[in-house]
Amino acid sequence: MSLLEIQAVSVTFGGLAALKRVSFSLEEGEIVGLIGPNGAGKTTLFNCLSAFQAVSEGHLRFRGVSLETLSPHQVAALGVARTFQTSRIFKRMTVLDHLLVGRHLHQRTGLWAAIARPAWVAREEAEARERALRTLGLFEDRLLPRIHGLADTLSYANRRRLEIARALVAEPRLLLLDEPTAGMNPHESAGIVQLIKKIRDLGITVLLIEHDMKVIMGVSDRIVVLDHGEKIAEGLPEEIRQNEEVLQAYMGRRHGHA
Amino acid sequence: MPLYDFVPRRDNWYVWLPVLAALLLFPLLVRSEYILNIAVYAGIYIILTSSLNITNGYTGLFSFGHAAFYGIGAYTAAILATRLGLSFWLTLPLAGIVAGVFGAAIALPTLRLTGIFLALVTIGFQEITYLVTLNWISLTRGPMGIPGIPPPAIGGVALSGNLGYYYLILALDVIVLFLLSRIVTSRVGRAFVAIREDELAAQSAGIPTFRMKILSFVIATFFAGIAGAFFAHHARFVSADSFRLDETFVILTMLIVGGMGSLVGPVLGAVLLVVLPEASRFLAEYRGVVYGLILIGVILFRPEGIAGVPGIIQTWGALSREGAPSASEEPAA
Amino acid sequence: MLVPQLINGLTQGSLYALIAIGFVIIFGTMNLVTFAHGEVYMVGAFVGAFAMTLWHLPWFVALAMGMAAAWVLGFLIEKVAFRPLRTAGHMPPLLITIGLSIILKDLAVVLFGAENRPVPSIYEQTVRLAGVQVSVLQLVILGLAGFLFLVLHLLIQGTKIGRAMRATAQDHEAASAMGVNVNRVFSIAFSLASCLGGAAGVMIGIYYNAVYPTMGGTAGLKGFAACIFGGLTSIPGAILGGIIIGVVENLTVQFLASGYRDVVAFLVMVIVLVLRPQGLLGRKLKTV
Repeated sequence: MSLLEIQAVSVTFGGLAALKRVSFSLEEGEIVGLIGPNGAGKTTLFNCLSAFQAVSEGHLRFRGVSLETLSPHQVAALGVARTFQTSRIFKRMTVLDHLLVGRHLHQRTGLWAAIARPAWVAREEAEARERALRTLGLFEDRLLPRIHGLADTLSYANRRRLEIARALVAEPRLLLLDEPTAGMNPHESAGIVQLIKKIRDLGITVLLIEHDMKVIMGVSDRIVVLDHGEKIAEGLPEEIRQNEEVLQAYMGRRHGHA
Repeated sequence: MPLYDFVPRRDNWYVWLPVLAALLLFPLLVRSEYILNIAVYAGIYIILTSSLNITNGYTGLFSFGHAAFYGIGAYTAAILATRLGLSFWLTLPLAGIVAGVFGAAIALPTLRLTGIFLALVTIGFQEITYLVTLNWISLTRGPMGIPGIPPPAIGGVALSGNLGYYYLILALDVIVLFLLSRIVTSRVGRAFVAIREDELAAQSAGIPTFRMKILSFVIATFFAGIAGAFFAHHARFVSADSFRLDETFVILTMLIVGGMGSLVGPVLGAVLLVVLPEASRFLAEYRGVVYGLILIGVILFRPEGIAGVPGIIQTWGALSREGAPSASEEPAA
Repeated sequence: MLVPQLINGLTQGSLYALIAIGFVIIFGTMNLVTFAHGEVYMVGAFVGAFAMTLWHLPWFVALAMGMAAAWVLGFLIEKVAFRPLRTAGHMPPLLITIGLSIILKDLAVVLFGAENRPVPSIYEQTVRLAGVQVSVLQLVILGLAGFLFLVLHLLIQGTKIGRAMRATAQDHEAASAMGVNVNRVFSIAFSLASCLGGAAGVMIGIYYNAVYPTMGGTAGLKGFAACIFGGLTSIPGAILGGIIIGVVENLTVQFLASGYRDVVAFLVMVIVLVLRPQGLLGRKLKTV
């Protein structure tokens, strides 16, 4: 059984078919790149996987569990974490609190425990804090010194890193990264490539949407290509690089443009 | 450290302990019934603003019906005290529970709404509550209100004069603020703030946002009910007219002026706006004008109020009903 | 007893509709909400009442004065509350209108006292119309409301400013790019909405022979309820909502209990919001 199975998933809204019978799987430990021209449906697929978008047809299975009927927090509880294309951070929270929120699924403190504060609450907080610091350590000295600063004082690149950190600290099995290097310069993008490799070393499977071909080629074990909602290619990076259909898609010729 | 970050803890005792000591000594130095009465009202409003802060400030919900729960608590205490002879020590928690239950009942169908829709639906429920209270004469005596609510009794001795009420509300405020501080500095409080800042990101981090919003609402309405019970046993008379939209606006104004999203803000706002109109006869007569002008001034020149987290008001609620990151919302991928 | 109640409901409903249309115009054009509309209605009502009682002017002059006063007040509110905060989201202006509402209400209470202020009766005669006794006043109000609806319709559909308003309602930026002075449109829209509210105020004062400082609160909320029912962006919806609320209110008084009269509007509002927030005829709301 694959870690993630996407079976003939279609999404239509308002007469527009955003995804048409897309199928592929992810095995544990892989890094799979998801590419395609603008409007191909990549983020829509992510929204389906994280239960923000309903699937019109088809199945999504994570570790054998169907995702279509779940709500977003339930999908997260199964071990799926994601980042967003326009990074969604908690502007008025400190960096540390971001990560503590990321730890939400691994903590148990509810209303009564919050009020009564039995000893295990402090232990839980200490453990979460320790994990937070460890996760932030993956980013070298970019976020650790700013741990008590508000998130909206961070630079653009650091905000994207923070979003990834928040997803990582939840110890997901599958991490969905939506254009993590958008708006970054080549040096920062290279840092993200290293980061993704470190993430894989932690045992996390990664599905990565990217436009930056250097990043995709540098980090993916396999690549899936979408265009106009359909999967048009799947294979090893070298194969995709030479795939005629893929080239045509990017140059807009597949559907008779230009 | 910015004022809005202040949380009373063991290690910053030198900040709050003197204040507490001053508050304990205060009535022994100022033996005026009139001033103590104002202080008692400040104490009641501290609970009201602090509880509204949980939903509107920490969780970013646009609740505009707080006075209704204040009223439900007040009427619950009044009815239990005058019909069943229950003492203040029983009516207080029961009033909170009843208000909390009503809060849950109203929250369930309405918390899917956001922004102005949530505001309007909470106003609608508030007015319906008022009208039912006014018309259900067999339960509430309708427009005649419920008089004769007995004062709290400590060790068999009934309170008379504002001195006893002052210490009682002071103790109650300390307890309430302590409970609220425990809540907001915990995993629960962090979840509330995450929901306020970005509900979708909060969901993707595993927070069951709908459930948490209901929890936030119930906590707020519970404490509003507690404030209502205290009010009932202090004023010794309740009438439905005290618990309408006007009253919600007063509480909201105090909260905004004091500042949302912090523990200190609501306290400062309540004290300031209770005390200020009493400073002069002129101000007292034009209380509404004073409140309105201060509210407008704050919004125009310092929206975070005295000690609030900056930026909450500007991003408070959205004019849409759902907020899923649809493919059309993000630049096409 | 049914038909007279229906006519009563129709009359009141048409006045609720006038208030509701104000909200629709403001929300549709500016994407904003005002909580001071009820107080504008109240000010219009008081001006009309004073015109009739203090200066003994005929009712239609009082009406014109009330509408003019409301227009001016609306113009000022838009300048104070909405203009300076153009980019601050919709919450700060809303809160300012709350502040203004509190101020206006309090001033009215302090200046005029909280009790009802009488307004003289006009057109007390009744006529027999299709077998039913109808008061001439009701006919006058219905006629006036209908006239205002028609004028508004012609204004919005047929004039340059109306087109500008419609364009702005669709998309501020596009309208601005096409040369529409969006600021001026906002100002006119707000003043127009307020003017209609003032008209409703004067007529309610005449219909019930009384005005009082807190009359704006419930009336404003009922107007909101009617607006929500029809869909925040639909004028016909608002008219329909107002009339339905007016009629159901009167049927409630007739067949249930008079004390629960006001519950109707709030029940309508709550039910619509919970089941179908965009109302009957409104378009799905855009994200801000």
